[in-house]
Amino acid sequence: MANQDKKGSAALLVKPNKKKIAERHHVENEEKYTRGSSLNAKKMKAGYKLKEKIRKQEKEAKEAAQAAALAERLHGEEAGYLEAEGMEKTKNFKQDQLADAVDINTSSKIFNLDLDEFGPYALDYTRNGRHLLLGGKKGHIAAFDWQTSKLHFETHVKETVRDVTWLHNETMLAAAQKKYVFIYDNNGMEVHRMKNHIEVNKLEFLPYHFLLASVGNAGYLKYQDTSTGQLVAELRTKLGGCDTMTQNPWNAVINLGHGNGTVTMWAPTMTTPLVKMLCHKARVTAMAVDPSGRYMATAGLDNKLKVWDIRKYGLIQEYSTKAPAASLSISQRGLLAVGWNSQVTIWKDIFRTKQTAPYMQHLQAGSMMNDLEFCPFEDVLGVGHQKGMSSIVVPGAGEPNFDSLEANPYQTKKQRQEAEVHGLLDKLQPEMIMLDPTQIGKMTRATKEEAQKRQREDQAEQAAEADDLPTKDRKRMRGRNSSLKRYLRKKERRNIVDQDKLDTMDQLQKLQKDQAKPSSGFTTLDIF
Amino acid sequence: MARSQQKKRGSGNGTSRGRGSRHAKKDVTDVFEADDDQRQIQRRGHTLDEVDNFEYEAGDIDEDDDEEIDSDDAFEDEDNDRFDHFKFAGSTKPELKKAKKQVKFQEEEPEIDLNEDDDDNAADENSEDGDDYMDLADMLDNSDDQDEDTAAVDQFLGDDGSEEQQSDSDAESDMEAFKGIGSDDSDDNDEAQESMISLIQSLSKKRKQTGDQGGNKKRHLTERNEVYEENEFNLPTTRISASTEQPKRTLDLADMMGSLQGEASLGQVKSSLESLAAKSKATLSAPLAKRVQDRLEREVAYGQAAKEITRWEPTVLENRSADHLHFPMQNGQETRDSKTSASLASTFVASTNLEKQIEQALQDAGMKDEELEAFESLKLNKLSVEEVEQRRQELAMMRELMYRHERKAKRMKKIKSKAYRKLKRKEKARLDEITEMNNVDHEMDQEDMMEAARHRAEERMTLKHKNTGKWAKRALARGQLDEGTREAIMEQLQRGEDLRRKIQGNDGDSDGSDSNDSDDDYDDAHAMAAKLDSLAHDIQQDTQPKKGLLSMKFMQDAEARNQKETMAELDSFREEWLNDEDDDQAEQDPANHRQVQNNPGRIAFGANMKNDKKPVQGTTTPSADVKLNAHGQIEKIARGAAHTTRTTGSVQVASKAAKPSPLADLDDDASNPWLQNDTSRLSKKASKSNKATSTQGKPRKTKGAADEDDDVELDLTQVLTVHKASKSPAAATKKSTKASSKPMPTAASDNDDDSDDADPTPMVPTTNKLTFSQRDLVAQAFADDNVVEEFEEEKQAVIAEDGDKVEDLTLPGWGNWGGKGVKKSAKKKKFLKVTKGISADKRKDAKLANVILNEKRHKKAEKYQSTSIPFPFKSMEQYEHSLRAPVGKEWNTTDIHRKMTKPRVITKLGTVIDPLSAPFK
Repeated sequence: MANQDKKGSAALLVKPNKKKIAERHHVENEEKYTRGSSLNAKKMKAGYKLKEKIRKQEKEAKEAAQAAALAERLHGEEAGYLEAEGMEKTKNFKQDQLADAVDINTSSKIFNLDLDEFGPYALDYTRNGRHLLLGGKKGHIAAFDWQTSKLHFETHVKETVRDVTWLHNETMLAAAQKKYVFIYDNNGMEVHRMKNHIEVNKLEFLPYHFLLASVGNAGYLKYQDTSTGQLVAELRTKLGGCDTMTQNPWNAVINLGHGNGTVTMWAPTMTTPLVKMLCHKARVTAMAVDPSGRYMATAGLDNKLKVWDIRKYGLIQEYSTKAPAASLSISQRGLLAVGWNSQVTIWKDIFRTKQTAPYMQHLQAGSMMNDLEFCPFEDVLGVGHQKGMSSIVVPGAGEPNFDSLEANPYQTKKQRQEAEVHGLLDKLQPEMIMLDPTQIGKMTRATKEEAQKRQREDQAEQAAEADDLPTKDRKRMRGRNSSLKRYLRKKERRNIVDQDKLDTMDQLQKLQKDQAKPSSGFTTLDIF
Repeated sequence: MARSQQKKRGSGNGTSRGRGSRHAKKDVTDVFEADDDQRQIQRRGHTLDEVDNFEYEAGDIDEDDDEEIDSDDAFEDEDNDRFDHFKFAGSTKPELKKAKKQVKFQEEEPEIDLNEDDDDNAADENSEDGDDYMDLADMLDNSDDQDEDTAAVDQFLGDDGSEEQQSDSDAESDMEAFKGIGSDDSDDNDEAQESMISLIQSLSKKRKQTGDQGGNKKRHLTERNEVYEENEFNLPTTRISASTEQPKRTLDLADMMGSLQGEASLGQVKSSLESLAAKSKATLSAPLAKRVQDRLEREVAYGQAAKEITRWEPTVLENRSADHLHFPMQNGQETRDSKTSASLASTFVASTNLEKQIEQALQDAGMKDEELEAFESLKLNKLSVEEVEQRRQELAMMRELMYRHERKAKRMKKIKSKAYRKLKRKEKARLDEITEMNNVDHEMDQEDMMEAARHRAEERMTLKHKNTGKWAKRALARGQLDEGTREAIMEQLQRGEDLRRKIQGNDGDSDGSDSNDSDDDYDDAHAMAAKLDSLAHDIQQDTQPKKGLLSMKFMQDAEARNQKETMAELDSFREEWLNDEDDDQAEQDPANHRQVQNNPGRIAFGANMKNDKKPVQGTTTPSADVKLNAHGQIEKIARGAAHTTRTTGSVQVASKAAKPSPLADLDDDASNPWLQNDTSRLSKKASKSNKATSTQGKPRKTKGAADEDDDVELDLTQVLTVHKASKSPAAATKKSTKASSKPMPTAASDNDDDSDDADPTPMVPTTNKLTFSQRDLVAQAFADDNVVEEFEEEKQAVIAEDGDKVEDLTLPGWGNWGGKGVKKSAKKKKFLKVTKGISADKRKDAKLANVILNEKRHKKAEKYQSTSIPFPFKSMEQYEHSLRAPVGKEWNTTDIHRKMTKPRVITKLGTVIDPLSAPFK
């Protein structure tokens, strides 16, 4: 048996000479970074200036791609893998065997938390894979830096906890409890109670948009902006209660799995789903979308596991499971973990070819699976189950090289603060969530007719809005600006005579009469 | 004064004359004189009036009129009295005209009513006086001297003799009149003196007649004299000309040169001045109109400015096209010292221990820069003169050839003949084809060749024996077939049928999920064999004569030995490989056939079996055993039996795919997931039978023959070998020694299968239609029955909603009659308003059965899209390409990011940025 985990080679810290970069014709892996083909300035119809501009642009793009390709040599780490010798099968390797074979550091990542009182557990890793959040169904919430085993807090909320999720960093987290969603800080202090989110089953946080999405028994998908506190959208799915939700990390579209076997994809600015797919013939139990946003895996009560290409909404593979999968997770490097009954099976290359045998398996004896999640930048799979949580090593799961601007596992406090500020500055607007975010900034593909039609619609809409807009009233003298008069004037402007107006007029008249009526009573002046 | 005279000359009009003179006086006279004028003006009243009158008359006088006046007429009585002592000898009437006129003026003057007191008139009077005087002076002036009026008179008074001598025969009529006087003088000196005095007196008298200011005038005249004594250094600016309208010349060079006449030493100056004089002869032309002048000026100025500005052009262009501009400009570049890695490297001195060590190491290895350079230069030095010469020749040749080629290409390019072009094209196409073919032939791998061959074969088989051949067609067309032909055709058809069946058998394979793999394996085997052959060939070929040490006998012997060993190794490998291949082949076929059957367990089995090709020699690892024991116990109950069962079942069915066998029914039952226990029993039976057959022993190598004749039989054997494997877990667990002692490929597969069976197989691919439908049964037990229908309905509803919308705008009751007994007209016109939507076939999800894509506008996202092409770009493509490369630091290296976001204008803080000075390169 040969097992290799991540092994770092010394990073080659050479700053390439700039001139050399400029002169290079081709760099290895350059294509990976060139986005689309280049334009030939010579052939196009354009003036000298424009041609020059485009030429410069192309040159810059090429340079950037080459520099990026050259910088690849700084990726010192290599992904781990499991290799079976001879008649061995990787799926037969068990965690205790792996623990013997791997280095101490890695073996310390295999652990099991026996928490059989408050299970089953939901779990969530931060984006840098450093911190772990556990939420036991019966009210146990714990957050800790799992690599150093430093506990941030541990609390018992004494009510049901259905799901937990970290927000933008490890200082804040959200928990879907019995009725409301609560937000806690990293000391376990309750920061907010979000009364708009009622009976929530699943939570999902969109880190670039600072949106917390929730869906619950009422079947409403709600988006709350965690930076401004606004409730951005409330979308009625019309498909009943929902407890399957995942996000597409590429375009921040939320995928929901429903009881009738459909999967719907949502953007906060559209009241109807962007896509509705019939994926299963029974309830959808679990979903996962791969980090590139290309593939989706769904599992249903019909004992099926299906792999979809969500670029063209086509089915790639279909597998039958012994029991309906309770949870799915896709790792950074494309491993698919399926939790069913008390088993976890991990599949490799499942998006490419049809697999006949799993890559790895894990049995959590006597404990039903509840939630699975691969830890980012680590070859670790977190397994939340009935009797606690276990962490298992899956070689080749995590991305070996991290981008510290994106997610830094070794983030210091200062860096975290910086990242938070930068994240807020670079926050994306909810309207930017769409199926193909590369369309942002591009030209509309609408035909002329369409464009005209849209324009007409918009104009009509604006006109309607203009009617509703309050026109500015000029300032009037004292006594002539009562609220009743103002109201009447407003009505008059629109030339509407309705009961309401008539009533108001009567009221006003009465008021005036009252004022005009001389007081019949005795005053002090009567003395004289 | 001089100016006043000139003015008078130019203008015939009295008014202008007077005005001109006054202005002239103002110009010339100084401040003190102005006072005198003022005084004079105050004093004389009537003279001014007189002048005014005169002016009026003078205005009327024309030259012609002047001429018409007879001298006799002009001389009236009073005049005669006054001028009787004058003799106008030889003077004709016209010649005296001027004088007469003057006299006439003077005579008339007193008659005029003089009440006006006007500056102009006074001035006119003065000038008139001057005029008179000048005329006289002109008369006197015979020489070219330029004198003031008074001066001339003085001169005349002083030396009349010389005057006479200098008298010119060409002089004008006035002069002639004077001559008479002169002649008188010569007659009698005394008389002459007297007459002169009298003349002067008369003159003065005349003056007194004209006005009281006669004395004043005189004084005034003296005042007008030059301040300085007249001499060559104090030259008057003008010369008084004759009384005629001839223009008075300004001071010219000739005048100045006149004084130099006698000086011999100034010859050079004289000559130069002469040349100057020649040049300055030309008179100034009248100035252009101001407007034109200004325009010309502007033109010139524009030209100048343009010239000035064009000098800036390169600088401005450079700055415009520059990516970045640093301000202040000039000293920006100088101050920056760039530390490149090269510059650092050149000044590097090893200081720390480590650095020293590294340097030492480099030195030892001869990798120091200097050494490398020396080495390279050494190499370069080695080039001999001849080599250099040769090289040069080569280059020259190349150049020549290139030049010729170019010329030729140019010529060819010019050819316009269409026929030629056509031929050329065809030729090119042919050549391309040939080269392509060649390339393909060269590049084609063994695999590809195999593939191609198979394709060809398939093609042949599918086309032939179909009665589509020429011969067959003709024969069939003939209708009546004789015995032989019919038989031949039948035979052909039969043959075709056989072959087709064979192909279908293969196709059946490829239906299964493993088919590709099996094909690959098949190809692999062939490719491997071919490679081995070529390797062996290479090794044998590699016996070329050696030189030096290698040519010695002992070396050759050793090599021969080596080669032998290699060959032996190769052979053994080949044997092993091919055996293995056969095994695989044997295993796979049944596996594939089994896949046709709808049993999932079996499929997993087959695929797993394939995973490990290489036989494992030696013992299995204890860990695996342990695991098997630990893990398998649970799973065996659930799975192990079922797998074997299905395999057997499937084999039977596959062998007789066409006809239903008794076992097929069983198999159908077995595929029911609720009947697993029953099937396990079946499987036991099957495994027993397998056991029996498995004793047949080794796998067959004679695959090809069997293939051709009867696939069924072959399938059976293969199944048997496989099932020997599938059966053997029990054996393996009992006797592991058996497996280790005989390193047979089957043993390897045994173990694999074993472990496979023991493992829980959580998922099974469901590719087969049949499988799906059966699974469907299970699914439907759980699911809502009408999920799919509901979805389809929903989709239809969405399509309808997004599609065209028709609104009926017909008003009820309009356009037809109402009342009793009115029938509804069938042809009633309807008013429909159609709102265009998206038709069903143009929807994005038109071809996706299970998907509804939202066709609604994403209004809020529209603001992030551009409706028109932003400015510098001309097309959408250009614009969208400009967005292609991201600028952010998340997508770029730091260097590139900085470069991309570097501002175009960079100013240095705290420095004054001067306007662009002109470097003018």
